[in-house]
Amino acid sequence: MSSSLAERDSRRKPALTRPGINNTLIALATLTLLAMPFLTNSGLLYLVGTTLVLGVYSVGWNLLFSWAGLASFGSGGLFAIGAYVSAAAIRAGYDQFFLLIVLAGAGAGALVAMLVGLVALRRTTGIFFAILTLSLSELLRHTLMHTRSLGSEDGLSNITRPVLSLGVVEIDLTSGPTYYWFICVSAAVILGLCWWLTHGPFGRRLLAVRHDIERAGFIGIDVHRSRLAALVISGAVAGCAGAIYAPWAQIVTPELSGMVRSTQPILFTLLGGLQSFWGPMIGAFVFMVIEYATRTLVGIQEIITGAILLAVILAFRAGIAGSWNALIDRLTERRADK
Amino acid sequence: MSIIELDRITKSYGPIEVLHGIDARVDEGEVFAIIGPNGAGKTTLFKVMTGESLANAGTVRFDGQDVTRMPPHLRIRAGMGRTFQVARVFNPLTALDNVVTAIEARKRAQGRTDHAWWAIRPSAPTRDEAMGLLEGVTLAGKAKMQAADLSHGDRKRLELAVTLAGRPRVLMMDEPTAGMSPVDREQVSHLIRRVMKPETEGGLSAPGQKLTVIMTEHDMSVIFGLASRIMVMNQGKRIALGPVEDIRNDPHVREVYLGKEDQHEELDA
Repeated sequence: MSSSLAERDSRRKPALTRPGINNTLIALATLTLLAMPFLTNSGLLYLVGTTLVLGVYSVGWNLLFSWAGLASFGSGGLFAIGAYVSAAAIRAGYDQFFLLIVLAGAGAGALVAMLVGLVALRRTTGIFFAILTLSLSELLRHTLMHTRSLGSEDGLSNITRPVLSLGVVEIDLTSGPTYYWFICVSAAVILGLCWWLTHGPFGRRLLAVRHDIERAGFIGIDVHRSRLAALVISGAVAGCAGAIYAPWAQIVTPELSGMVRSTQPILFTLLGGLQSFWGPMIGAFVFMVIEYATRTLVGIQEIITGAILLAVILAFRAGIAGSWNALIDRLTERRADK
Repeated sequence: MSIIELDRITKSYGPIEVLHGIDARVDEGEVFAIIGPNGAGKTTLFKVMTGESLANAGTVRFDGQDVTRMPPHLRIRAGMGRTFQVARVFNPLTALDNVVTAIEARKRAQGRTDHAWWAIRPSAPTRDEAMGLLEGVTLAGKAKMQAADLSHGDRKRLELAVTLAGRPRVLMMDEPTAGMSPVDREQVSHLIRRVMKPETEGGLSAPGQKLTVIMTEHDMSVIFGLASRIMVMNQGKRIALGPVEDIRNDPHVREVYLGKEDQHEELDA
């Protein structure tokens, strides 16, 4: 290569690239989250921890939506299943095996998702799948409300935070900050797994299925199996998030399987960015900030929250993540042009 | 030897019968064209062969095996490939990832996945093969482009690369030049000719592969330039089947096309 070409190449390449900027932001956000117990009071810490759990749960929902193209309106049911498994196991005195309990919650979510998928996916997609999943989670909510051994309408309360026993070491998670760090570590593990799944061959396969299911069949992809796998993974993430949530909130109620919990990931994803891995997590935190900032405005809080959401979604069709990426691309391109 | 055998294929949509007992045999290595006026049942017959629609009666055999009830993805794995009238590629993926995904699907179906279980990027052989196919369809320079941003002609070319990535033995092309300019049509014809040739002779077929092409097409000049045999359909029936020259001079075929002056002229072209 001639020196002038090499020179032009180096000039073309901007010093700041989008992945570089975004990775720095993710690192900063991670550090801030880890330092949270030193920066805030216990009330705010509880809010941040809850948002982190809900963010992970929403990333799992979005894996199904933005990658496999399936809109579930009943993910709250899977979250509730994980939460109840965790709550019941801890109250039964198995709290030293908490890591296994979390895995059991994930397994229960995955199993139920698989059963639903085996029945539903062959025949239903689109709005039918949405309504079916919504009905099933409502059915679960009503069943929970009428199951006395699971506390009926009051749910299960007084769930203690566990002391993990890992053979020789014991990790005490009973205090707020330590359990919060446990949430951080679990979130990192689950998000890492989801990132790996969505960015490799499996993710490419799912994107093909989402975009054109018939065409995907015509390159030999078993579309039914791919979508079922996405549903199971999404169910495992929801169940896992629920299992981690139970000792954090210290109470689980049938409302976890309700409409509010099921629509949260949809809102977070719309706000944060469709077809973006981090979108739902960003959406969850932005939503938390809006709700926290308007908490004293009793009566008009919902109106303000709704108006902000509407404005953001209408103004930034690609969500916060999409618009941010477009902005960075424009800025770095301009720098490179100079 | 016949690679595809159609035996008395009948298909109706509700009370309307669109295919009336079609018989045909497609030989290995030939370019088999299906022509006929609009509504003749070409696309329906195509879909019966690929598995998108199931025949009400009759059998479809692929390489001797009865595939009449087999779903599309299994027919693809057995060696069929298909392109669409309006190119269908995967918009959310780059041109390269479109081809990579198709190669990975093929390797997966054959149980020959060659990337490490933890790997995110495609394996080196997969990547090389994908780049080779993109080069073959003159898209290598646009490998990193999002498929959604490609032009109509480029999408057609990409779709062909994606389909060839499945290493089909039978390539089914539904109106490969639909909606194209004369220049683009000539390019596509050229590309199909290259597809038929083995790699060693500057073509695109994998070594040892004997490709068969089945196509529907409106443009007679494309057909006459490519096809070895032609099947003419009208109102759900086969009215002629034979080598190009026979079809051109067949009085019955001329009658069907009579009254449509432009197409009549095309037959004489």
